[in-house]
Amino acid sequence: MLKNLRNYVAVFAPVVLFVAFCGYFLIQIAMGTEVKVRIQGFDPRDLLAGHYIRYSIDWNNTDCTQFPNKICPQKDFEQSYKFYVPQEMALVLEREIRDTQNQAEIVFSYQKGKNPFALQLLINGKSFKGKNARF
Amino acid sequence: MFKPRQLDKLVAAGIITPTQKLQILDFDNDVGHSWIYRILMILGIFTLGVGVISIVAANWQDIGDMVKLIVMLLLLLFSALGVLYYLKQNKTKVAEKWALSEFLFSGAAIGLVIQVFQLSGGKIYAPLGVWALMTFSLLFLPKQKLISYFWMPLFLTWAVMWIGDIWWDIFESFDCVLLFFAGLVALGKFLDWRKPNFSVGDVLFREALICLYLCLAFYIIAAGFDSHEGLIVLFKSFLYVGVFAVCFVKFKQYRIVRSFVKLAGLAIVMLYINFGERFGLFETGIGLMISGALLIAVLVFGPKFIRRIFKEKIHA
Repeated sequence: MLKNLRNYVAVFAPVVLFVAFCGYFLIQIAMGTEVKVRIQGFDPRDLLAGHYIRYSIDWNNTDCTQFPNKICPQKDFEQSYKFYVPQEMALVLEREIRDTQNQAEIVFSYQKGKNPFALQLLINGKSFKGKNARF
Repeated sequence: MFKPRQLDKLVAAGIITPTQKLQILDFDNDVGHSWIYRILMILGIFTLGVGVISIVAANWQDIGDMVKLIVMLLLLLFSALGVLYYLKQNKTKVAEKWALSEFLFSGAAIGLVIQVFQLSGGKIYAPLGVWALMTFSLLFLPKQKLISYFWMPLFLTWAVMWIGDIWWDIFESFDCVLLFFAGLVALGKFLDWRKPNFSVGDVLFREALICLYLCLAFYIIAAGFDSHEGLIVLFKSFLYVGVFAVCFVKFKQYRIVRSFVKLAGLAIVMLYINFGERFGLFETGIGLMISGALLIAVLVFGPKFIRRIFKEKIHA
């Protein structure tokens, strides 16, 4: 009986932890408010989680009035982030972000003092979603 | 383990017969492969696993995020149920393979979570730590040797990267890194001694020992070329090599002792290089002559000295 219980715990622990991680992130995203920040991008490539666009936040061109006290909370954000995109779109998006005539933004779910979650990538206000998105 | 050429010498010297030579070579083929072969094999399997994870994580672009997460959950559940099913059938070897698939799916699940929730900006080694934590429980299944061979390198890679991140200066981390791996070696030996059927102990002992050995070799080589802190690190290395060798003599692990003696030899060579750079032995003609004479002296008297110690030990 005890041996069976041990086997059940051992086998289902990864499943439970996976559900817990997903649940935690979904709750954190739901609790945050959406904010839009301007970005600059460079260098797409990753081994473990597919292709991405590495970007940094352009605080000079970000609207700070959307944040509490109308101050951009630079300390709550990292120096640079990755935005994961399908492999075949990485280079296209990279070019679009580099083009100074385009306005590239990331929508974050933000809670004061917590790590923000990137939700979507906008280029000239158009949301990037999935494989068929083209600019 | 035995090289044919070495055996030929023994045959020529009349110590063994040609038949015995063939018997020894046959025995070697049955016993298995060297540790380098095993390490490369594990590395190959591990790289293959990471490649599969990478492909799965990067190419699921046509389906929605929620569907991706649910499919991954189902895959994890499916492999977990597979393990339980075969355990109930008493087919532990098949169950072990299902557990390995659960382990690999867990890695894929982490890659997927990173991608779906756009998690970035953290430490590069954090996913490895989460993967090790998530699959830690699989080590407690009835048959766990295969899982251990995958889990331990994952855990040790995470540990090395974590330690490397804490200390920017490599020599500052010297004592902590060695004591950390020495602790893991001791833990592995203890587990193996207390629970011989729990193969995690044996695997931990072997792989942590390889890490300890490689780290010590790395520090010794780095110290040879560092004229500031190198000398202290080299003297500390001698101390550690001595302590570790004595510990393994106590456990009668003479093969490991011999490996550490080789490290002591490496430390002598690096000490010579360190002194050479410090006193300019490689810059002038006389310096080069002294340097050459010293090197010959080390090569001639070093092994003689070690052999004498071993002989005295055998006769004692």
